[in-house]
Amino acid sequence: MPSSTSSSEPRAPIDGLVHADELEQAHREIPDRPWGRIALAALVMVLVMVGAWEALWRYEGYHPGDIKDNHAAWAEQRRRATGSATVLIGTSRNLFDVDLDVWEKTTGVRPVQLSLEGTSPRFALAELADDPKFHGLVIADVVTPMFFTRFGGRSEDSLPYYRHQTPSQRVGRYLTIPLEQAFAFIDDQTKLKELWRRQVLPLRPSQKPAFVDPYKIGVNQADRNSELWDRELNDQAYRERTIRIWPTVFAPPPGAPPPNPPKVIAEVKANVDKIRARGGDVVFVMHPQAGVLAANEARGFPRAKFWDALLAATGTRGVRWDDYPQLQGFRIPEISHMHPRDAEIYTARLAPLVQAAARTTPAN
Amino acid sequence: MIFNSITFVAFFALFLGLWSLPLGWTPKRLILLAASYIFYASWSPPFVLLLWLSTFVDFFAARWIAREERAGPRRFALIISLVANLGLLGFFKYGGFLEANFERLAALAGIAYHAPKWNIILPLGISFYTFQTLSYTLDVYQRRIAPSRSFLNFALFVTFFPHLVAGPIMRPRDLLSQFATPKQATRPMLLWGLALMTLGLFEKVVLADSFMSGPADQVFQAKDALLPLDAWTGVLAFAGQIFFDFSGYTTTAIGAALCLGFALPQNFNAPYAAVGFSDFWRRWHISLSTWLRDYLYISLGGNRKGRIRTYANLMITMLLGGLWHGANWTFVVWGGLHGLYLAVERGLTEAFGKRAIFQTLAFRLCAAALTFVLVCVAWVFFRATDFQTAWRILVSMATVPAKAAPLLYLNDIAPVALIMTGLLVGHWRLRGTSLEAVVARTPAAALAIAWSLMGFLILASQGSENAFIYFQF
Repeated sequence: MPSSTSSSEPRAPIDGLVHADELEQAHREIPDRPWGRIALAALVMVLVMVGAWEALWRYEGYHPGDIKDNHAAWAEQRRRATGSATVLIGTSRNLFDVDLDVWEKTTGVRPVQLSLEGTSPRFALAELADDPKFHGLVIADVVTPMFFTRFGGRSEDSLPYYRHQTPSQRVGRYLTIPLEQAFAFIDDQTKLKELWRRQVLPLRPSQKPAFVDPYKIGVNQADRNSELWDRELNDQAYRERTIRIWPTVFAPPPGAPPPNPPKVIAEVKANVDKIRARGGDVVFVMHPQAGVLAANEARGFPRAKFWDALLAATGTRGVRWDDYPQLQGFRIPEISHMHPRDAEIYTARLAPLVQAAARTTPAN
Repeated sequence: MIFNSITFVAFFALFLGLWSLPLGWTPKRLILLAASYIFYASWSPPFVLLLWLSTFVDFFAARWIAREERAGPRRFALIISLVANLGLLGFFKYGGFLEANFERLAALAGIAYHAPKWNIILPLGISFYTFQTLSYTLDVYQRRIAPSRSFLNFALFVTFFPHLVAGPIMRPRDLLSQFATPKQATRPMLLWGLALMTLGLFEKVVLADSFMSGPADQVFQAKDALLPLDAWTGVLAFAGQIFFDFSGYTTTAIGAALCLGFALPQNFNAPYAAVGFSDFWRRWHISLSTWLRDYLYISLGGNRKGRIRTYANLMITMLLGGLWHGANWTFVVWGGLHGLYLAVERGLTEAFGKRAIFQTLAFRLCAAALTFVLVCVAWVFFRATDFQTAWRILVSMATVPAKAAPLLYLNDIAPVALIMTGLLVGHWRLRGTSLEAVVARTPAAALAIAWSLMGFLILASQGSENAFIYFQF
């Protein structure tokens, strides 16, 4: 934007040259306007608009205290995943189906939540395996189509962010939380860019509709203790939209080579061995799913070839929901994640099974 | 720390509070210096050492140059400054590039040479502050100024946080003397500064990051052939993105400085309304183009050594200007294209002289449109990470490939069309005036509405936390 500044020539030199500190000073023109009144009016209007915006999003079911689950949140938890910590890695099922408060109440240990939506745990397992300071318990959830076709996935960028996070970004995380606790509209789903992207406009000739992610599905606390969003429970149209999208999300990426279980298992075994060599352990879990997701997984990823082979080759024990009657019968509203109230009961039953499966149960 | 982050908002609010305390000028300057180092260290604390190195070397080299009458030692002191600054730049910015090119040359000669992988992080803003400190020693060497008497003033000249990481590239005459006398913004300065900061952040967060970066990224990352509409939309989106991103940074920097009582010079002046390329470079990244003109082009002889040397000097200046932006041959080609544009323009001016038709509105509009199109063509090399991508996009802009399918959706195309139309019309209307002049004759109510809308849209975009493009340079 053009603007103006002026600076005149240096003052006439006395001893030949003008010292740099004594050069004529530049100045900028200030438009002659009643700036006090303008600023006050602008401030009032911003407050009114933000108030209306906040009211709109609260009406839409968003609420304050739902903390953004972003790279900074993951990085903060990654720093806690050290020593003998109990660490959850995996997909959104590990994120939403395991309630950290209940786990802590049941076992006395509050796990560190490193699971990520749409992301295979293999990248996080490799990261923990390569961290010499970590010798705790890893609880990795296996969503077979993701586990065996992706090393990471949608949110694996969290790792480079964690490695290169600047002090400024770390401070920003702490400054943002109080704002997110006060305002409902601070949410990735309500960003201007996201709202515009969702507008349905005519397609160009021969153009296919764009792939769209599920909209908001979870709510999160500052330490990433997360649960399924109310709207997935109470709004049938919203929930059905999510259910329609899930099969695409869980399918292997377009053009991906067919799964190669021996190769994946060899990679996982190497990482499990590294953690065990330091006194830690890894337990694999498989959380319930329903509908077409369960059918697709049973058809495309038979247990013997994937799950059983993984446990056998790595010498680990696993907790699979369909092996235990007490882990069955819970509500899975959008066929992938558990109802929050059911997740509490499920967690209370799951935690002792995981502890029993672990070769060692590290002290917190 | 980036301007579009909550950390900067807190930092700046806190600093404004400190700045308004009734303290002496020296304590205030020390607070400003400490704050500037904190601002820089919040990205990577160890790299503050480089800033200190550049500051110390140039301050004392300049004093030596000024004290010394003999040509040899004067030149030696200048060489120390050049080696320190260009050495830092060369090591951190061009080391990997030189190594990769050496490997390629060796391979051409049949030698399989594989150097160890160069894995060095580029210190933020190094291209800006090294050029800035160099301008100081060069000005002293060329006897344009006497060196600063105050190390504190000089350290602030280098480190002043509003311009530290992405310019404008300040010259001693622009800034250094401003630290010599107490500064405190008046209420109109403070509020106009805040309005400029809002405008700058609006450009960055709302226009560049929310609407322009997406289509540009999609097009430049596409692996398949593109339809002309997609290719042109992507290139126009990048033209808009880079303007709003960089202009957004400098407008915010100017506003932040004004809030403290300091004046930073303009870095952009309606560049997309330029009529011709010499006009474009008087309007785009003004602090870099004038730096290159004064310290490189003129030092090479400028236009004083005959026609051939003039064209050669022009080309060398623009090629190096391209390389300044990044260690990649695509930037060199971008600079080379602008050098070529300038050379052709100069040749045509020499051939046709000044004619009445050149001053007609129709001719000037056509010339401005041609300038903009050619600037966009050059942007392809600036944005593309390799020549294959650049070539694919250029071909797609000019032809309809047999197997191309639509890439962008109307959700991408419509904002680019709307915003770029607004930008071009706005620049044309601002060609002969300034933002201040326009604001001075705008009704107060309209200013309040515009300011509040920009503020609200920034909040509704929830910031972006995306670094400014020019940070990488």
